[in-house]
Amino acid sequence: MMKEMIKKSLGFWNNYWGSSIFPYLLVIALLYLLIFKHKKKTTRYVLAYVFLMLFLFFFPYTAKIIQKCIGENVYWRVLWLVPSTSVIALALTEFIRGRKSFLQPVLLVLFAGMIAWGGKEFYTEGYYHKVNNYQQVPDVVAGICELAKQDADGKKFLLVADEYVSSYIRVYDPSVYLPFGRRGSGGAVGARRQLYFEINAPAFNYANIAKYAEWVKCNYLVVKIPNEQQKEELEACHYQELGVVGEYSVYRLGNSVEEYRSPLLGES
Amino acid sequence: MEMAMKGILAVFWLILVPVAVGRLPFVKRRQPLLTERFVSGYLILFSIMEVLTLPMTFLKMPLHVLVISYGSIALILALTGVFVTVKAKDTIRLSGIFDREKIYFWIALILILAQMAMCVLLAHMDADDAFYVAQATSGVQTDTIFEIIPYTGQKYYGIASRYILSPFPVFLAVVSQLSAGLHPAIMAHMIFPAVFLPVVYSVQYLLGKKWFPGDKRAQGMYLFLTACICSFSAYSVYNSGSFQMIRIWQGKALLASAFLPLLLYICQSVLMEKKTEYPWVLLAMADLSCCLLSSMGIILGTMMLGVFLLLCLVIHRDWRAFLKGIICCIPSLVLGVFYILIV
Repeated sequence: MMKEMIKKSLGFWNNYWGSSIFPYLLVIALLYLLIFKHKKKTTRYVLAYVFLMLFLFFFPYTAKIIQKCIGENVYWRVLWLVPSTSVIALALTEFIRGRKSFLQPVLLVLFAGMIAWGGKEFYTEGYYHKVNNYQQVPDVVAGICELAKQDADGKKFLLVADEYVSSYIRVYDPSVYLPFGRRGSGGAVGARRQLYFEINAPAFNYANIAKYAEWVKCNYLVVKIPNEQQKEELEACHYQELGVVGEYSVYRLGNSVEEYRSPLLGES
Repeated sequence: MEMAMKGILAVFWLILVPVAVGRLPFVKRRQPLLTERFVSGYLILFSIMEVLTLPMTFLKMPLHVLVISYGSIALILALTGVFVTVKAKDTIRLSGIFDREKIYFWIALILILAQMAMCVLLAHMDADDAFYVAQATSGVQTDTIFEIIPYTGQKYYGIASRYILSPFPVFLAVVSQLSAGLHPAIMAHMIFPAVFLPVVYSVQYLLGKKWFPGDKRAQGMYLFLTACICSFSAYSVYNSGSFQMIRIWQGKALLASAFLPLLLYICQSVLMEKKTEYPWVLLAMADLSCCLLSSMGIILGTMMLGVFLLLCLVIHRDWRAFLKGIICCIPSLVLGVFYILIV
């Protein structure tokens, strides 16, 4: 049990740091502070806290208890209690301020360069995108919501889409009802469950998607743009194309949203 | 014009009110720094939000009651803070602001402003918003608190899981309503980064002041290095720097990047000093604020506080401080028991 727990903790530790140099910087920072700055009161307290916290993280029995409290999958969040950013910056600053004043800006630039080289920057790694809406959801989601709302003309409606689109629909517009949310949360049972699997399948079966969407009475169906045969499959289940937004087609069930009313809309 | 008005109200509720409220813990003490006022203000406001929201959630009260209650209390406290400021004749200290010693501070500030610009003007898509932000938009749309499943728009049957104990999405909904109905997604994605990144670096600034007292150059270098490390934290999606840079509007990100370091700072200042630098109530509020932000905060905040209490006992043999610290933990211990029972 002990070996397995330590292995798990190490696994979380490695995932937390990725392929960066920061775990090594943290260890070097702790050693530097321990050897050269242990006489400073504030440093002693920080070191004591960090070492105790690392012990709690890696020691199998405390790890087991903490995992029972917070859940095994998110055990890595305990590492948020280790102030690694502050400790590394503390050690680097202590090192720099101990040098001659003409060297200090040079060392600061060198350390900043080392941090840049050993880490990864957000914009160049593709974490940020330009969008054309203030809510900062994918533009395609905003477009789908606006199209459906315009067609519905103030009436409540049920819309179904894949995982990517449905994750942001209610962030943009909470008046849109969905049969299920992210990872099927909130209601993927029975026909809705089948619909969830079909609409998120790696290879789409439009006939099945349309069949289940019609069973659930989804007023609007959002799918990747279908070919001619797939369009016929959708139309066989009374879905009519409303428009295209980005790589998605939006289909409406019947001639208007009032024709099909799902009990999920909460209307008597 | 309408958007500008909403923006001004957002600035009022998220910057001016916390700075005004943050004067109150220092009534019988020295004039606080602006950064101390800012973070103390949030400790007080988040604690108030937690205390108001939990009973209103269980009593199924409408959101507008919470908005009015929170807004009124925040305004009264802010006015009191302004009164204290005027009575104490606080001064704005501008001399020495452009000294050579502060050059590193200004370089750090440029980097921090660049981070803020990136976070505000560009979008990061995070699917966790399907719960956290949609919880706020659903609450605003239906005037309810945790009664609507954010994923679908249906009603919850029973308790809305353990997230109910950490209603930070409700704070988002409340400030959106106080800002003349600014869309919660706009508030979260554009306003919150511009407000909470300064909170993060205010905490780091205070840590720098504590660790390098009187050395402005070192304080500036420290702040610059922390900003650098955060800027290059994209090596994994798990670390606190990554959470800070790509989803600071979510409670758990604010916990990891700002409030756990703030709790660390306050623990050092209250538990590890012979003469406490801040009132004990701030320690309790820091713990309670962590509970508001995330269900993780209930456990992690208590863990940090527990470790510092142990250190306080071992290093200082201070039983009084230890007992006071335990009292500060009581709200999170109670919530922790609820959390474990619900999970």
